[in-house]
Amino acid sequence: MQKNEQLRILEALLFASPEPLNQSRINSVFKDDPPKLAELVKKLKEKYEKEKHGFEVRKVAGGYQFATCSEYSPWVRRLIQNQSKLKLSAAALESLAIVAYKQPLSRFEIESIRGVDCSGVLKTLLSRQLLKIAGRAEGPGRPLLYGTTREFLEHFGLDRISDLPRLREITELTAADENSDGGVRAPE
Amino acid sequence: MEANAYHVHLENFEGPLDLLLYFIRRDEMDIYDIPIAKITEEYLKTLDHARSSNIVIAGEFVVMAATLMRIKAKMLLPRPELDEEGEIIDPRIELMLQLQEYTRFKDAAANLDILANEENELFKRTGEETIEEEEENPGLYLKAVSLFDLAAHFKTALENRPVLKPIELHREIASLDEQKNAILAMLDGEGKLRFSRLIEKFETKIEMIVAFLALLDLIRMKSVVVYQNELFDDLEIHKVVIG
Repeated sequence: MQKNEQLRILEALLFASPEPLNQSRINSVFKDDPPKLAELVKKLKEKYEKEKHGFEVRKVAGGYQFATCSEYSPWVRRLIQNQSKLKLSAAALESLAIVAYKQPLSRFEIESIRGVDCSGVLKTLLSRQLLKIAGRAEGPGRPLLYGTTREFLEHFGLDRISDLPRLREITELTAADENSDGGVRAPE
Repeated sequence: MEANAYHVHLENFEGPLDLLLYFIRRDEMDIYDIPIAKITEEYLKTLDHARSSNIVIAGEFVVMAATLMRIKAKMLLPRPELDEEGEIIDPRIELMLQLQEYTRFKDAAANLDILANEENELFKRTGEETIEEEEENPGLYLKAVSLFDLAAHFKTALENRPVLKPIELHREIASLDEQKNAILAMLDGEGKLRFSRLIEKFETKIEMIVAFLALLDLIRMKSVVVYQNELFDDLEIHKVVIG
């Protein structure tokens, strides 16, 4: 198969894919001798950069998808009005942040950091599929453990959990210089 | 702080830690040396104001009020200044650590909010337009189902049952193998069966429970797979075709 033809097939797949396209989907599409997705995407990106498009290929949640370039958002926004994406409450964001950096962890651990009951907000986050049950703890009562989902990564435009911004160290909170090293990284 | 004549509204805060953090930031208090008398006063004033406005005060706020007053009392009482290892004893230490930990995640939450807003400005190619087809042919867009979904579904099915007959004293023995065969026999021509239909067939709880166990066993043996169209939707059992 010609290289250019492969590139056009990839373009078609990216256009049609309902979720970020990853290598395993490529493997199932091509069956024998599937091309390396990352390499193809690199070529496609180079091509787009040369030609200057209004959209680009971006990596999110371990796959690739088309997205409009941010400088054209004002125009697209005029086209797509009333697009009400789910807006998360402060309680939801706090709980998500705690789970994202400390997963897997139990409801009790989340509550001890937030200082309030979290059962309602966790239920909502589970039903919106931003969180999932990641198993049970070994300790007494074997409580459910929470973790983030692929939808979480997509919602925040992250490729992997380790791409989260670094969590500040306690010593940095009051320090004038916030650029020092030694912060906590999100789990891989 | 006479300057703060306006009232702080409790309902704007995520919890007691959030409220304390607000005071610390507003009055530029040192988080390592919290003026406990002052912050307790502010805190109690806010709670009183909420009470006088007939706002229901969550239990966590009351617990924190007690904690603050306990710390305040400890600060006033004569106490040893150093522990056995020569470390300074500060009754505020626990609260301080809790506030610091909370601050980190509150900041992280703010960062997540920024990420989500940036993400919201980008428009993605997604498969949303397939919804129309989905309605015509529901079987094609089924999602994988987790064990938790399956268990939750079983619970719903049990709860939705009409009141069960009183149990008579003869034993209903529904064996696992019988129920497995029953499930397989109920699969339609295409090898499919709706979970709700399966449950309908049985009258007693024990039959249903054994049928559920049989279903789990069939999944384990990879004889069937279970799909679900969307959350809380009916489950669909599919026979696995070998080869």
